[in-house]
Amino acid sequence: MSNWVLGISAFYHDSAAAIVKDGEIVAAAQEERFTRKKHDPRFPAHAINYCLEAAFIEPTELDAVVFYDNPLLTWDRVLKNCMMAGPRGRDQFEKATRSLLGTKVWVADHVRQAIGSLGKQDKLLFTEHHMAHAASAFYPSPFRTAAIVTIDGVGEWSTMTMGVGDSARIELIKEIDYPHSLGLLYSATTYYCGFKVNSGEYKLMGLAPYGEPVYYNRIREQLIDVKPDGSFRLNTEYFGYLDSGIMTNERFDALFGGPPRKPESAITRREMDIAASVQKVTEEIVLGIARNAKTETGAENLVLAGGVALNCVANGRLLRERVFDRIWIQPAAGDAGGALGAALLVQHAYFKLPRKLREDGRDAQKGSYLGPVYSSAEIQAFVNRHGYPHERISDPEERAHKIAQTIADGKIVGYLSGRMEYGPRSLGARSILGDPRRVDTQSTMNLKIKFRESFRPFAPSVLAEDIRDYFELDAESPYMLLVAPVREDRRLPVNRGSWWVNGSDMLSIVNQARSDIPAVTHVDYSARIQSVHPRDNPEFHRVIRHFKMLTGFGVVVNTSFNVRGEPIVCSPQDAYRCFMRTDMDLLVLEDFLLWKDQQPPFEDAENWRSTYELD
Amino acid sequence: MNSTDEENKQTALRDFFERKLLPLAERLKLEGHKFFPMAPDAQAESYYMRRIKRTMLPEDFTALGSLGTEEIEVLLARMWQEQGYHELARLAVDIARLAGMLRSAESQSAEVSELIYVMF
Repeated sequence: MSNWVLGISAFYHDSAAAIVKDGEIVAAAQEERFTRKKHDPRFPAHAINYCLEAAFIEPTELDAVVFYDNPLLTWDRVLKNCMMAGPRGRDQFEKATRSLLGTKVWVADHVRQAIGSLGKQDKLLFTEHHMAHAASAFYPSPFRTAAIVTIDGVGEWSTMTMGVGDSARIELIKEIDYPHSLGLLYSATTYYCGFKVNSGEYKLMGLAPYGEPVYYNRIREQLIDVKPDGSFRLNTEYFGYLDSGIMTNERFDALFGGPPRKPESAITRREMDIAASVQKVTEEIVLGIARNAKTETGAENLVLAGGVALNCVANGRLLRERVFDRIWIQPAAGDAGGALGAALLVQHAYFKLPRKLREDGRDAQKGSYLGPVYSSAEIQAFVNRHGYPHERISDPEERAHKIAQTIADGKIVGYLSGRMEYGPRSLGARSILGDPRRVDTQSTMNLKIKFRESFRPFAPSVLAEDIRDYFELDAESPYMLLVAPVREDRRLPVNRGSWWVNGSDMLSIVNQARSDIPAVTHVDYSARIQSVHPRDNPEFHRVIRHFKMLTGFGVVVNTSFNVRGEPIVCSPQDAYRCFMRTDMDLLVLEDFLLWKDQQPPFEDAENWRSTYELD
Repeated sequence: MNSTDEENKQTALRDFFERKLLPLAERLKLEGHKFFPMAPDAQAESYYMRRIKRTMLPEDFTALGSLGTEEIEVLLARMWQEQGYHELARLAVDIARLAGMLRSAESQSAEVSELIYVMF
């Protein structure tokens, strides 16, 4: 008799659901993909329904339903924080009480309302937030044993934990607690540099290579004390999140010479340098924690989760420093991954199921292709119903060749193929593809496809067997969670001194060719890499292989299939809508190809530029 | 939800904060008590804390039980008693009452704050 567990994360940001069977991941998805509301924090009813459909089971057949967080422990932290804030904590107390005591502690009500059952346990199970993160990192990893590090903004109290995993057992040994949080430091800096908290943190990471870490000492001396063992504590006098509705305060402003950057205003040298500085601090802390984890556990392998584990620049540095032999990072390292971790933790720690590793030594995340897939019959029905001109190429090699040729001709391809990714990155299931050799691909894709700020780089997807031909990376990177330098022999010299001749004209900087794959080479020659293995994604691997046959380059630009501010597309309808709203040339829906110049005028009922707020 | 309900909730929240929580907070502050450190400590060798609870046992997953208002009161009171916060434990009954009053399975806002990390 199989054991089925449904895991749920909700109510903070990036709600999600995941379903596991006998320790195997069956399905997982973020709610935002169904509701089309980015980072949707609401109860993930759609994601849950998808998971149950994918599993072909009824809710009453679930052996357990589990929530990834302990709301009473969170309430303990919030209440004590409000008490520390005194009268200034009044507003936060009211908001927090309504949220926690009004909604979050009653999560079982939401489950019953959504699926009519709490499974065979007839009660909702709860994990601890960082235990769920730890489980999401360890159980799907390819390691029998590993050190575990989780770092985020905050769970109930923990902002960072360290432990060890062995077979089916997870033990967390030490932690750092709120308000001392690396994630909150990064979010505070995100806010200060004019990006959105809870979603803009990776923009700060992408901005860092433009600057110099001139504020590093100031941050280390005033904002955060870091001990030799990697542990840290903030000086909370500089932060507003303890007693106000924003991350920073006037002291923080004064430290960096003025008020925060207004969103959408010009990015100046100050923000670039602050980004570089906080990134340097973050990397050092992550490294220090990792070294301490090595000392503490003696493990050869390390697994990571928590939102800070999405800082792929820090991950890349961690790998290069060789503190551990191997590293594995949960692709859905943020709160969405808590749903998966909670479900796996229940299977192994509650039901005591043994943990089975794959015989081929690969991880159990299934390429993180865990979401909905659409059959050719469904796509046929979709294009027929709407009368969309298309061609169908059933032969996979012929299809891959045509797609690759389109990319090689400098055109942009929207690509929907197979099961949707779980986690924030597009990995060749819901991707926009382009030619990395062209200097103008980055600016074209930014301005005409993504409608976004120009400084943000694109990422390469490279044939796994060719990774060392392009990048200084000695490991696979299937989930785009590692940043590594482009190989030196591929780089072109860039005069950084000329950058500021035109003031902060970032477009002129980003358009400089920095390598023979300029569209995916950041200003410091780094790249955020996805290595594509034929076992994980044979279709996508085939496309890149054909691109290599045509051009000699086994790498393409891979960016997420969405416009700015919109979640990554899920369905063929989402994909077609995005395709028609942008300057993409070709849309691939499984084995159907739709050319832009053949499509009828698109009647866009939605004023999408205001619907999808600028991100 | 009618406006009277909303007013009652508002009043209950305000009353609890002003009449029960704030006075306790101020008493504790006068006693020099802090729930957590607010600043670095140059003398400390490390800021890591050893966890007391290192693994999740089966009973930990069900510790919140069916989580009604009675369980909320009992669990909070027990937790705070164990932590030595006896005065706080006595507020558990009021907190449970607030939870019952605020209880809603209505859909929350889809908006995620742009200004502050979502912590509750």
